[in-house]
Amino acid sequence: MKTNKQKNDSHSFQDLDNRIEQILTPRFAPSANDIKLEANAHPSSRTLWLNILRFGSVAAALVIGMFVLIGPTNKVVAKTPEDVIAEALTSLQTSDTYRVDFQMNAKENSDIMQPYEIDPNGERISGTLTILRYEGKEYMRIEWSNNIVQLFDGGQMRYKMWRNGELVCDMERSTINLKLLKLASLDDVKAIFGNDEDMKMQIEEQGDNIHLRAMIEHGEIAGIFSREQGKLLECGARAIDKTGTWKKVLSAKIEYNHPITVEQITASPK
Amino acid sequence: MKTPSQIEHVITSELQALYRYACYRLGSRDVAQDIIHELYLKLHGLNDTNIQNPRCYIYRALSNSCTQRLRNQNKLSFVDITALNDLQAEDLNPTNFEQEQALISRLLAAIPDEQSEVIRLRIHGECSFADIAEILDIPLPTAKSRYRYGIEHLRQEMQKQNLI
Repeated sequence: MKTNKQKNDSHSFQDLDNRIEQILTPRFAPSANDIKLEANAHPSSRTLWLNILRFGSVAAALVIGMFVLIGPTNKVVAKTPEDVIAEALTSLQTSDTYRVDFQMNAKENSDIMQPYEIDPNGERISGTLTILRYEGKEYMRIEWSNNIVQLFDGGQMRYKMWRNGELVCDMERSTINLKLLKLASLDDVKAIFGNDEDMKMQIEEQGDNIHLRAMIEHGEIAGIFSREQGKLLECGARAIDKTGTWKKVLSAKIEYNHPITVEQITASPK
Repeated sequence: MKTPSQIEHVITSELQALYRYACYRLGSRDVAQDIIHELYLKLHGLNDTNIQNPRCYIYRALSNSCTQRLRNQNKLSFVDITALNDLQAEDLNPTNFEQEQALISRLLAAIPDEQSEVIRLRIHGECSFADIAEILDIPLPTAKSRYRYGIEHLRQEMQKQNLI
């Protein structure tokens, strides 16, 4: 038979366990009202952004690959090249605005959300990708050299595309987030290159610059980082075409703190 | 017009609980939305006539997807015995999702995964112990005892630090 003390202890423990359960019970859970489940032909937002990576911002693929493979360290000694790279990648991820001018070999795609996909045998095309993060909203605009403009508007939660100044697509996206820098998994990076081979890394220092190459059997991505600025400056990619020849498929240059406003990034092309 | 499958129906009707579970498991609204959307696309149109308990099936798939995502991000870890160090009394009163998620993650990091997962399914997913047993493929008494041991362990740790 339980004594009074045992009974009191038991009650006391029960109260404390209830308190633990109360602490573990979410009070600020996000609402699922914004999630719209559609089993349509369009890719999920994640797939969409992954595809954007393919032809719009391979710089981000490079970033992701390196971030995953190297990762930041907490060393307090003199900075190693890996520390500089990690710092540069953090800087890119936290930058409010930046602009990537790129050139790439690509072929046209019939999907309205994916007008081009990277292809070593495709035509040379250039473009500019601009990212803006403002008041918790994220915006991305891609302007292609042949007068196609894509806009991912995190403020209005819409995707738009113009051809020669004419609006050809304006649709709601239930989730618009700049996930291109958040796909921090090696599997995702490998998926971009369409294989699951191991990636080999090579780092060389030349003066202030750190050159990094990540190689797989059929492709290679490379980046140039500035030790002094702690930033990724340029990046590029090569791939083997159908004749077995190595071809430069992408080159990109990054400009940080690119001055642009929400009005400018979301503006209709003239 | 195609009738929604049982699976689709359950995902739609349980969306809030599924999303809550994923948010607190993964620590990010964005990633949680991705996982839920991927799950829906994966299970949409699935021939579910042989699935006896669609709700358990969905939670099992969601739990596995979350585990895989955390594994890809190298965020799976053993029990962190220092998780509750430096926890202050004021931390127990979060004022937004981010603070609350951080608090719950710290607490659940201090107990073994098999216990924390039962607690998540019970509190965040609002699953019954019978459902949890089926989701995790464990006997019902084991599901209950893992929950109890997890809560007790947290109570003891927080008492040690005079937090409760």
